[in-house]
Amino acid sequence: MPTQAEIDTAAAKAKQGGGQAAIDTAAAKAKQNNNNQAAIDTAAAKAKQNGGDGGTAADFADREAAAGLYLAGNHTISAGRGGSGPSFAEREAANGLTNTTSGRVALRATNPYFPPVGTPLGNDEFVATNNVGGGGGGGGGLAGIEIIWADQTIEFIEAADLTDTYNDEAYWSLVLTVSSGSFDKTLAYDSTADIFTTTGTAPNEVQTKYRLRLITQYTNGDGDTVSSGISAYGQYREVTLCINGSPRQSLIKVT
Amino acid sequence: MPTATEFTALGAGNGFPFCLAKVDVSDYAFKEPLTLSQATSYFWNIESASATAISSDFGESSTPPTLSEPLERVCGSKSEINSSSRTSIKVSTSGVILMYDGIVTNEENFMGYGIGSGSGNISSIHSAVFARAESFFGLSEVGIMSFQRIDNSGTSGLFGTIAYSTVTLGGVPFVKYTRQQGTGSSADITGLDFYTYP
Repeated sequence: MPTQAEIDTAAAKAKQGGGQAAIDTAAAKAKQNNNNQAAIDTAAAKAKQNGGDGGTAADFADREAAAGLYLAGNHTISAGRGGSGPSFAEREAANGLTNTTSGRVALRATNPYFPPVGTPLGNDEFVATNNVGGGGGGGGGLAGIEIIWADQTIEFIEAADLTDTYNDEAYWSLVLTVSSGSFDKTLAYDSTADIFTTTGTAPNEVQTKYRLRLITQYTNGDGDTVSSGISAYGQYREVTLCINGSPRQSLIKVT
Repeated sequence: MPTATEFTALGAGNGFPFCLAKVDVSDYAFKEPLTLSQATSYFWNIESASATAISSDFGESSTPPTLSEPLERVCGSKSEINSSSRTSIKVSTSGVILMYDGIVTNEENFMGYGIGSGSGNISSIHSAVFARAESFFGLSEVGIMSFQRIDNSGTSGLFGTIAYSTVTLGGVPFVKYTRQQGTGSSADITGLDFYTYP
């Protein structure tokens, strides 16, 4: 927090007008960094060129400081010009919060664990034109998962249901039970990492479960272990894969 | 046991690289339907068999052939024969069918999977493994299969002695066909060898 004296000083400068304040500020900064008079003059001249009464971004920052408004990660942006405002994530960080979802652009995203499509890296204020196909893309326009069973009947699982009981586990999967060589259409969720659950050994092995991974754990570029949603939304078809000569009832993504 | 290269195959989405014919086997004399796991294990992983075909009259014999790696079966069946002029042993994955006990459009009639192709009448054709040896005045035949349409078991002067039984080799059940006519030859199948994975 600035001291009252600093606020008074800044306020006085602000009263002189944005242009003068910018000049003074630039000159002061130049003095701090370089005692060369030429550098001071140059900086002041640049400030004159850039700063009119309306003020530049730097000028605005000074006014914020003067008014006691500027705090790290808490810029006022309504009148700012020439620079971008802080991201939502930065504001959260400034207030000791992380990953709050209300108010983010993912207003239209149907599940907070699956980021919206088309959001530029580092700017979660960007409003994607179509993020309902979430789950990382390739969702075929579905906000959920549609399964075409072996008997050609169809089941749709809404996106919100996929992580309804998720509680920050490392892995999270939609669990399908296999009975008599095909899915019995019961749906469950668990945090088991294995894709398949079997009993017995080949050639008399019996598959009992298949897991469609929704959230997986991996090591990112910084060496940190993180859990993140997988591109999951879309249409799937029940198939029997062959893995090393053993049948595996699975879902294969159609669209 | 030989070690194979690991693989995953989508194939026809049914566990095999092709669609399977549905066959009404309700009037077949002998049938041993397999589970999907047994059928895929045989189709993909069979490497060879413990089998003999010896013609002592002619002084010939054959050794069982070896099928190539499972990965190479993604395009279809494999069948190999080792033979001499009077003996032969075949190991094959040719043909996998869906066996129904009645009309094939009613899934309630589904019995299981069958290894083999053909009409089910000629054992040498629809056997998964078949061994044969000829002698001066007769022959020996043995085959393992999932189905046999006609019951020609019995003893006659023309065909010798034909018999059918049920055996389990390598964990997979089969109908075993044997025919022995005269002396001076012998044939038998006593086991199956499968590829394993690292």
